[in-house]
Amino acid sequence: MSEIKRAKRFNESSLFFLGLIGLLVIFGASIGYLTGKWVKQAGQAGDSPFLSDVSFSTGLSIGLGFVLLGTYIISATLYGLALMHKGVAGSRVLTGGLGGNPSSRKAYPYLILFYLGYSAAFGVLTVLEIGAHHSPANAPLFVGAASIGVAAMVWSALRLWSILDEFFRAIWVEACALSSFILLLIALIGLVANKLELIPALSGYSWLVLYQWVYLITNGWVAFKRDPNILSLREHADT
Amino acid sequence: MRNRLKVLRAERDWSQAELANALDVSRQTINALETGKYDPSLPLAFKLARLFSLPIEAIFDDEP
Repeated sequence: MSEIKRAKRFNESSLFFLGLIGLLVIFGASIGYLTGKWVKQAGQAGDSPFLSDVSFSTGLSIGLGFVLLGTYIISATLYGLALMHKGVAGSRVLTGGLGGNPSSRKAYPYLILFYLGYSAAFGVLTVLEIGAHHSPANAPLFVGAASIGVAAMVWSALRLWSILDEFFRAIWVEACALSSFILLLIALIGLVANKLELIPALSGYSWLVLYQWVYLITNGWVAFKRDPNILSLREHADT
Repeated sequence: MRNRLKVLRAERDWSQAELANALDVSRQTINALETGKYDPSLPLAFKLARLFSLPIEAIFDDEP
């Protein structure tokens, strides 16, 4: 590919990337404002119908969901810092095991976008789960934010698939397969128990939170099995 | 699967990073290959063979 074509593709890709980030920021700010307004009004009314009605499993899911959201936002921040600071980039534990290799550093912008998109889509779901008021007027805002978040995830994941080398792709695929299988087993047991009225039904949000936690743990286990140095603070010496 | 990557790399006085750059993979991939935690794909195995000017069987051994 000629240098001119390569430069043009890079500029188009950068513009698309920046455009998605900008849209996410706008949607995030709008939803944050609406949610804050709703929380303030609910507080002023002196009651909180949500808190009095929420079940233990829903409350637990929302708590764990907020922890997940925090994790994704912190991850995006760390990859952003890794782009600017060599010390952060050189730390494998802060970069999800990627380290500061030239090939790994290419992935950082797309990882930032992936986690921001993930936070946006999952954040919308979490806000709706805690009972934020939605109306025909503001529903498009939630739909738009979730859609943009998912689009950002899909685009960045496609780019990451071509950037990451086969070792990291293998970890990714293995973690997805194993976590899906584990959740299948949990779902079979859980649904049978629910049918027998031994446990209450879980909401879709709770199942999604459960899957994300299973995936995080599975991914960590698979990565550590393949690369015991993945949690090192610095790049390790040659073996 | 066993391999002689570490020996072949040492004979040429290459670091893991240098070998990784030559193959356009991450250093973590080279480390995982050398420690036996990961087996390469066929395209990567062929790349290694071409880089070391050796047949694949001279680098990798699947005998228990």
